[in-house]
Amino acid sequence: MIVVLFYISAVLAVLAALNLILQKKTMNAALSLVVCLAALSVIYFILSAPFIGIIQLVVYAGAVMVLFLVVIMLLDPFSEVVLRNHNRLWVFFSMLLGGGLFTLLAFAFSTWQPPADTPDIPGAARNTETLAELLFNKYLLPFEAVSILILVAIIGAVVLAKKKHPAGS
Amino acid sequence: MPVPSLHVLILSALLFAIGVIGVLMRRNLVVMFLCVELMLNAANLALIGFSRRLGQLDGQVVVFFVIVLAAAEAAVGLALVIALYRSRRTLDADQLNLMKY
Repeated sequence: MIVVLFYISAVLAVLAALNLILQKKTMNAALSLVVCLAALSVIYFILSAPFIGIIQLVVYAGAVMVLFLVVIMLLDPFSEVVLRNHNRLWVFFSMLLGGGLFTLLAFAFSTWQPPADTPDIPGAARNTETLAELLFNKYLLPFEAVSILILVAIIGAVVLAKKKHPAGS
Repeated sequence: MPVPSLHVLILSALLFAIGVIGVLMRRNLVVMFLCVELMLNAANLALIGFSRRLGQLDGQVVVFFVIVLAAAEAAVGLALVIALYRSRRTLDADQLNLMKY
């Protein structure tokens, strides 16, 4: 049953991703990315990572996508301009590159073997608790570094997006 | 019956390839950004899949950091897009070929 749910979510994610790159309107592309993120969140739950699934929904499909939608509405809400490359050769080339990359990755993944002594499927029990223990002990320094980084990024975003006043005012 | 790990990894490779094709094919800056987000998510899915297969939670911690970094990247990138649109009145990546004028 849970496997069926995984395949449904996987097909949904791929279809939403295809819609994202083929969609003419920017707004619809952003909304199809929201669908893709929600499907991935379901997959995270199935793969026994409930905390990351929730974070995915709240931070990614919530906060980051709101940021995107606000910027799209600010810039070109319903513009019909198809800003897509019409050079046939270039489109063919990018398809070829993407297909080659997929083949390479799929080959690498299918030949990969885990070390012999690993347990096959870990339990999802106490996922968040174990994650917190890791985060605040082993990964404490990266955690603090990332918190400083996001502060700097927010200040930088405000400075960059601010209206330039004429000199002297 | 659990989900095979290989299928998770194949799905992540597929999403990553779609993201690469999108970045190469589309010329709208915001849509290119969305495709970059898709690629980040494909990488996250691969990390979750490996973390589950290896029975360690370290991969999920890395995914947590990647999500935070993606939020920071989206904030700075979209601010850059707004600043560019203010000065050039276009979102076409092909027309943004000068560093300054």
